[in-house]
Amino acid sequence: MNFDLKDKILRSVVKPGRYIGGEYGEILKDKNAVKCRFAFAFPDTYEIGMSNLGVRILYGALNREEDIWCERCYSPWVDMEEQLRTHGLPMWAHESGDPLKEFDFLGFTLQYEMCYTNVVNLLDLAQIPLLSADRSEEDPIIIGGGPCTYNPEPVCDFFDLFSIGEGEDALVEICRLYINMKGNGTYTRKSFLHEAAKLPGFYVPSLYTVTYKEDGTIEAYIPVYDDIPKRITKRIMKDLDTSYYPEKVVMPYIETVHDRIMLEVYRGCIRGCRFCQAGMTYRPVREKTPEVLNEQAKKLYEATGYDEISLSSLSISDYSCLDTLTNELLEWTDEAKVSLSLPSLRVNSFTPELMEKISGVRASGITFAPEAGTQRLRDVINKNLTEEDLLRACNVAFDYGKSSVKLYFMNGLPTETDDDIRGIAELARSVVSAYYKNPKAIKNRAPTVTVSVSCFIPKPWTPFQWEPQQTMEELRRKQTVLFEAVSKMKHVTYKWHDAKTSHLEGVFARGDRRLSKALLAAHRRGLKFDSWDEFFDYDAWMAVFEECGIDPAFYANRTYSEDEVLAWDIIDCGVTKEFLKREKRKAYAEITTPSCREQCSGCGANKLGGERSCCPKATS
Amino acid sequence: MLPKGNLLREPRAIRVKFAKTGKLRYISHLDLCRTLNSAFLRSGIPIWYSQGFNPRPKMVFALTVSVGAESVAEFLDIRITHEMSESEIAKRLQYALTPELEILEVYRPASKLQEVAQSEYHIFTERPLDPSAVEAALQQPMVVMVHGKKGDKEKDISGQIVSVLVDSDRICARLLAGQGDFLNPENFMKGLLTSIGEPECLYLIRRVACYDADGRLFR
Repeated sequence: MNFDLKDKILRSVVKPGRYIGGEYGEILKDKNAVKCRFAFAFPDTYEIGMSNLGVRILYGALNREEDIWCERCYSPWVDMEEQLRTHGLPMWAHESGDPLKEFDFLGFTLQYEMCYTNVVNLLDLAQIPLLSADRSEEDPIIIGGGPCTYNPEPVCDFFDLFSIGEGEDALVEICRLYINMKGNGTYTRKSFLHEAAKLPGFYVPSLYTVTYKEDGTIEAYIPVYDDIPKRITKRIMKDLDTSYYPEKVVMPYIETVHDRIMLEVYRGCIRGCRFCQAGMTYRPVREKTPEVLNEQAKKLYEATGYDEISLSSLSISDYSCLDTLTNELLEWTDEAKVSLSLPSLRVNSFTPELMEKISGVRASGITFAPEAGTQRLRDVINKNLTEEDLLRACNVAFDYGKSSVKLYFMNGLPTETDDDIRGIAELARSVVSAYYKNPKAIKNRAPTVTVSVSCFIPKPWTPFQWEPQQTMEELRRKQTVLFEAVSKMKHVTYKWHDAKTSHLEGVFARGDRRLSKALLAAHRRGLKFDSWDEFFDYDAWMAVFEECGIDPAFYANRTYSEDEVLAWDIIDCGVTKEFLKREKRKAYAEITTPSCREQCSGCGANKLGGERSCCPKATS
Repeated sequence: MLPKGNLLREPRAIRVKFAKTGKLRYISHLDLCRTLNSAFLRSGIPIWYSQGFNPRPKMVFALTVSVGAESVAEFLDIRITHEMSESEIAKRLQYALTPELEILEVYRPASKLQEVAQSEYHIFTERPLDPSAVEAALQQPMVVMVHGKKGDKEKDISGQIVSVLVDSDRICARLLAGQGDFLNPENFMKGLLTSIGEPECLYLIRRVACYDADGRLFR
């Protein structure tokens, strides 16, 4: 019997199920019958990538087109990478097993900054030239999308183009352009990218020249052609009820991170927390109706056999029809033994009625995100939540037999003092004493309150986009202040994030295209899987910056001027700079902004349109 | 949600014989369980749930092959709560699975899964083995390192080998496969290949049948 190389390799790696494809629900087509082959790569492990809702949606949206075949690909784990490199085997796509370099498009979804080295590594493993400038007519078009592309500059040397905003329609359009140009003989890589740059929502970084001032800040973005836009406005799906939503899921054999139905309830967020990038970039709010959602949930259950439905959105309790939706779902989910989970609950919506409905009842714990320890600081970040709200919500949980509460906070927020840090400990203490005061709380069981603290990272497209990230020394000092405050408290556990990872994330979040050079150097040093503790090597990263003549503090720890050209000014994600400036000033004045449903704050995203949003119609 | 047949007075025992081949050989037993669990749910088969605090569709497997091995003789017992014909169950279940998980037969069992005592394997090797060398090796004690609950230990497995036949690049081996006395075919191959001086030879294991203690075909 003959054993092929791939077979030999699969025998030698852990979890070969990550690489074999062949799952129920995967889409197979005849490669000779399709006109465009698209490989959708997720630059992290299979287990994480298979859990991503965006990938599920876009895989279905592309494959809905008869003449387009979209396949999947994930970062191989290090043992598999070693095998590929030893045998000189190029990375392949899951469905067909064909090398990625034979595809027309290779698309990457950029979900977090710490996956950037994996993107470069995956290009390398696919044996595709790493830099856009080095690619020939035979190479695939490398396209990026996802949340990080609201500032795509740090990775722009590796990409031929970016799809900005929601991709359901946009990706199909770019494939259509490709098919048409190939069909009528006008295709060259250069002519295609020029045409692509004229399509709404597509950014071709090589068609914009960036000039810099003497102080290192950006002077201007200059389009190479006159007929391409000066700024790229993000795409949105205007009506989510009629927008494509997958009614099938590729069912992984091996266990993945989110092995369940994800029902996307709405996009956007009415809150406007001032640290939150997603809350700004996904505007305007657009809801689906409960009828459509219930139908989609039923179809997904029938197609998957998953026994859990997770209602997905940025803040599920802000969905205006949550009550109707959960009631309609419960009419059949109970009998089918399907449980509902509602992540991202806000404390003010946490009621006994809701508690009855959710499967979380089974778990012993509940999670809330006050984000800051004092009312003053919560007002600064516009987290409209009071200590009273939190304690009331905790008491509801205690009434229902829960005894553990997890609280998420950030340190290093603008205007933060040590009193705010100690406030985190005080809040935890209040939760513990609320448990002991609650007559319904389980007797003879001690509460556990976990305080989990991450480091604030100023992100593009937020009112804090001009703020300096606090230095690692300061972040660590604050971690110590909190540690001292909680260490003597009973029933309180303290967890904190490593400031080193946050610092690197801070550099890339607001980075410009000069950072591509650092990514290339980092790749050459073998850096990858930066979001994995076991691989993250801070010292190696600092050496990379030094070698490239890049000062990481220039990006992470500098106070940006409100007048300077920001790297992400080339993108228009809806909210205006004036709005962000206004919010920044209100933050310093400790004034909160009402939610979009209470009052329009004039962020500007309504110009994009959108059905079932709470925005006033734009007048243009 | 799907219309159901008449409720049965007692849940009815149903046996599913299936094959897992091709890519599916890389899937562990635990992953296979999850796969079949969701397949039953999406198939609309009225599977009986375990009772208790956290009810799950109840599935009981005969000893399964390990990761890396194929099988055309896997057995799974379920119970159904509502009337549904065996052929309908087979059809629906296959529809909810990929071809590499093939439903071979669905029937009402007349035996217990615990009656399985031996398994027949066809093992395909990278190159033909010398039949006389294999014959000689089988005359000797075969000592291999065996993973056990108390750690690794050396064990003579020759007593667990029922019969072996070599045919070019195929070995037909019948090995003990009872719940108390089980020889992992991987260990058999390790022992055999080491004995004949070919420890690097690649092979593919495929279980083709199960037998009871008296050597009768299990069904």
